[in-house]
Amino acid sequence: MSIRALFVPRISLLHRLDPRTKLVVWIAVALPALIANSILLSLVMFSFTVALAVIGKVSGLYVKNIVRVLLPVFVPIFLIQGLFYPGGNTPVLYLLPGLYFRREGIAFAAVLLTRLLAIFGGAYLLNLTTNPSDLMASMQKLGLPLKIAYPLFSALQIVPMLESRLQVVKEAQMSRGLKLQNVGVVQRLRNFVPLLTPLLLGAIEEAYRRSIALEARGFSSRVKKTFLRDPRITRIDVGFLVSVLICVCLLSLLTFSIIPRPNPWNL
Amino acid sequence: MTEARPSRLRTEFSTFGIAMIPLMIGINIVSSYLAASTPIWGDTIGSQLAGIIIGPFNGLVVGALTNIFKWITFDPYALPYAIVNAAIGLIAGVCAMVGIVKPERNSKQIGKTLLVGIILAVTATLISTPLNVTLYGGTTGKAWVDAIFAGFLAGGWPVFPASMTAEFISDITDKIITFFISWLIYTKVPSQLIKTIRR
Repeated sequence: MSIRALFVPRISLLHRLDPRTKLVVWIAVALPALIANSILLSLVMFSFTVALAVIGKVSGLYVKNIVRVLLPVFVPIFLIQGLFYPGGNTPVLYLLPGLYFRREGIAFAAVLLTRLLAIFGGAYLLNLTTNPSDLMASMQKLGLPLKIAYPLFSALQIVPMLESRLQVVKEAQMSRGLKLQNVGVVQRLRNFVPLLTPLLLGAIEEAYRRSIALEARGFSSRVKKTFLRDPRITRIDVGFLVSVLICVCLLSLLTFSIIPRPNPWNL
Repeated sequence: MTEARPSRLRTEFSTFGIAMIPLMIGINIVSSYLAASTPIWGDTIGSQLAGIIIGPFNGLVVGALTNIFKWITFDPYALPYAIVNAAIGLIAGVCAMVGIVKPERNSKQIGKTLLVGIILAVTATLISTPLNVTLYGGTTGKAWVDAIFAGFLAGGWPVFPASMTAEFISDITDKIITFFISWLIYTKVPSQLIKTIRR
């Protein structure tokens, strides 16, 4: 596994927007799904994020990765809630005598999963279309101190470095006789200490080097810092935000009007 | 005491302390890779070590930023659990600050390490369970934990206690083992180096 920011550079309206705008859009999409107990509304909100992804020219990747990430969560939730949900037991499908899918459980799982789709979909879209340095710059404009923003952003470079260093430590320790392959769980847990200790000591060394490099560039000096990348809220942002908010309101109202009552499946 | 607090924050977030944060985030991430083939999560070792070696507030920031980092890189679900990871770093740091955890290898220390592991597990359970229940209906995403949860539900337990017990069983394993590992690593860091860091 290797660390890479989710960001995909494209030339699109969504990429040009200020990250703060996209943050508000995410909240606007997630909120109806979070509040309402409705499969349809969450699905509508998710479809809306897909439409936004089309505008951002990342729709294929967006849908593919959402499915890939959600599926491992989807299966256990669906099985556990469908089979064992304690809130009711109207049988829908018998697997074995005494073990059956319950309507209430399936409805509950479906609400949860569609809600996850809408909430995490919006967040993923934000990350997919926003350069991390822009995100950092706007976070700082929203009041996040540099002393928090720097570590988060520099972790993007440091984590891959530590990964390759772990590989070096692994090989070094193996050459000294540490068993790393084909060992049981207990030995694997014991291996944490010889693998992570050199990594930690190296990290302390590296941090001293970096703290000097930072100070050489005036990290703690109390002057106003300038940004290399400087996202600003423009008229495009305002227009986009207003149209998104109108769309979300209209879609919510429309969905509510077509939900059947009574509503045993949480549609 | 009024003087002590700002100066503690200043030493924990000196330029060196800040430069340590991304590296400890990296240790969290790397150790969670190592843990992938074991029954533990292992994604809080860096927060614990930052808490122990540098200080509780540094551990807190490392924990929170680790999950925010995971959120913007590869794991869209990590964000809510930032609170859990932050609490782990903070508590591990407080335990080292008040002298419960010391870098000495003796049986008394082993007992105290286990105790801190239990405290961490209780904290993690108390914070994670409401998140698991509201976000995922009680499942956690690690197969063996979810199997226990399903077992409790099948036995007629309500969702919250079932999820809490399953979460606690997984956390007690994870936190006792990871804190023990963190303490072992702590004992191996030269004491003069730790003095230099805390100065």
